[in-house]
Amino acid sequence: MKIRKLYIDREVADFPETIDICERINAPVEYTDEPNRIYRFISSQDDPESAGKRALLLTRNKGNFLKTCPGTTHYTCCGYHILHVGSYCTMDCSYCILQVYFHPPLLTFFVNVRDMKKELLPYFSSGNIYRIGTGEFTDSLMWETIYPVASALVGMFAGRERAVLELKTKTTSVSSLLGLNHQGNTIMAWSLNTTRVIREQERGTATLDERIHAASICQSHGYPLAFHFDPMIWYPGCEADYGDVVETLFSKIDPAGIAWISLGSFRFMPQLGEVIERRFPRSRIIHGEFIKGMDGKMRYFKPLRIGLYKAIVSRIKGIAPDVTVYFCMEDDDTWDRVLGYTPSEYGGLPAILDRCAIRHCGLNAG
Amino acid sequence: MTDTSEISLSPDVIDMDDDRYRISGAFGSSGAGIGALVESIRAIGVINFPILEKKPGGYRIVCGFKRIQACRILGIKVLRCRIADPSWREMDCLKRAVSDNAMARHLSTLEQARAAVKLRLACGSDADLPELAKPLGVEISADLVEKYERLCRLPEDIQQLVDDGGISMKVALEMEKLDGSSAAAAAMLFKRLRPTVNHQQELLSGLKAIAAVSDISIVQLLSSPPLTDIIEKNGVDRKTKIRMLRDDIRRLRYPYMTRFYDRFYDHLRSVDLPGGVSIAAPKDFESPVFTLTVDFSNTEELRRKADQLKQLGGRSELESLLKRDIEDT
Repeated sequence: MKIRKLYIDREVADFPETIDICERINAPVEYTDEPNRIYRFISSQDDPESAGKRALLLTRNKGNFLKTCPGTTHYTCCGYHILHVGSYCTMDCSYCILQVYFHPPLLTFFVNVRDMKKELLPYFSSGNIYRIGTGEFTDSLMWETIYPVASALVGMFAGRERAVLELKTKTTSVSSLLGLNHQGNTIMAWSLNTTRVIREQERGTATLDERIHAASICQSHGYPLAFHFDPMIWYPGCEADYGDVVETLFSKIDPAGIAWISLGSFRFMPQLGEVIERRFPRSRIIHGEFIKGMDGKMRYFKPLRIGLYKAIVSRIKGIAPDVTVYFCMEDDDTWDRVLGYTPSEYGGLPAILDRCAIRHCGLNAG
Repeated sequence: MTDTSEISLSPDVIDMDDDRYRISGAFGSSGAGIGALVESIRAIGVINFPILEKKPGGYRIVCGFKRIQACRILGIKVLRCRIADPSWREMDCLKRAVSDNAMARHLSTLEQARAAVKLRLACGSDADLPELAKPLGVEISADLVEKYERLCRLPEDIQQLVDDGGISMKVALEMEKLDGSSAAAAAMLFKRLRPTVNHQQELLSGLKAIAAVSDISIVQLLSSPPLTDIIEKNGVDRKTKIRMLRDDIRRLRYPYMTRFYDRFYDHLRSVDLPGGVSIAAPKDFESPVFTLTVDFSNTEELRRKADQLKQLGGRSELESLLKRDIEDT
């Protein structure tokens, strides 16, 4: 989606990042002393979720850039840290949680990049392992044409002994990263889905083949990779389709270079259902066999989730038995019944993934 | 503010179709529903004169739609009415129209909706609306007026069904997302079977989802088996039909889940639990925790059942049930 309006918080008007972005974006500029006014304007639109994709606000992140993953109660979180470089996304996936996570959702880029770098430094010298990603509140690579924040971060993480960066995307915008000296500290990650889900639910994203091709290019440039089958969406015949995705993936990607693969099924807060119904009236995804999970989110009936997970895990393990597969926000019961163990048997999910980061990214085991 | 002046005029110069200030529900030209008022006027005449507003070529009614209709039914040739001062603005007339109705009786949902929507339009400010409406006898919140707006845009038969208590406003508003014929079909079903509000919501959301997934309309869904067979079944009372509809809609909406539960209960029966002992599945099977209930009335019975439970713990059928092996069958 094309950015048609650029709002600039007057506080950051003179920042070099702001000036740089203004040169890259060909859109009318409006300066504001009160960003809340912009939020109110977006909220007042008939389709605020679309309006928020056509406007970009440049402002300062007044809070912390680094946050722990919000997770939810009763389900196991991977313990990843979110680096909040910006919010929302120019692509338009029907199931996107960001449509209801921000009030209202508005493309926002934090231009106080220097503050972000300053905030990161102590984490690099801490004794703990940090897995840090920018793909929770936005797509990690969609900003590259606006401001090359991912490229800057790749350089910053390179050679760090106890930290890895995960860049998660549905784009193919990798060209700016290929020549960088990443030293294995950046994991390039793609969200994968069946061709049907991509075609019907992920508007404006790269196709499956394009994503896997971009991943193979990154692999040839030495980047460790990760893949996220999340959200997996159930429909008749989906097990075979997800199996096909696995086949396609491993026909192009060497499993030895995959740090991890995550699986998560479609889950949503009830208010997202209303947005999907309004914005994507042809989408059928909210009419699945959902129950209210222990965290209040709608989830597929557990036996249905388990059946789907078992099918895809067996395909992955059939081809790449050594690749680490984990679940995003599932309980011990699901882990045990699909994988045959619970994370606590191996020190917990964060520890399992930390060990993967040590192995694939060359971190210091400490 | 200048008050009204009284005049006598022919009912023929009053535009009965001009609804600008109408709050009360429609009543047929036969006067159905205003019989008591007709009889009262026949006996003692009109006590409170209707208020009219002058307009090009005649008059529009501000207050007194029913009184004027009753007079027409009685064939009264000359009516005594009060005429709004020409200085009155639309809002002045509207306030009187709302107050005249709200102070005389409890307004129905639809009447409240009409009052709120008309006041909002004339007021032009949502923020001032609750304060404006309160002294007129109408309690409105910003959230409610939004819903009233939507209600007034629905087809008239659905509005009427809400007014008659046949369906809740919430269910009616859900119907606005449906195509006209589907909304009418669902409304007709509810009018016929009169399910509770909760059951209306359950049935409607089930019908919507099944229709969407099957790529057919609700009309098609309701007019094909198995649902039409239930609706049209002779000799079955409406409560039974509602239960049968709910069961079938649940099966169509959640085919995997219902099959799973069926298998679970079949399996549970094969466990052959001792009398007074029951096992409940985890809620929605989301948590892995089952619940065991043991009825007993004395320590001897408790001991006996404890022994039976001990034996039960070793049964492979129970082991298989708790492992939910039924998933793979």
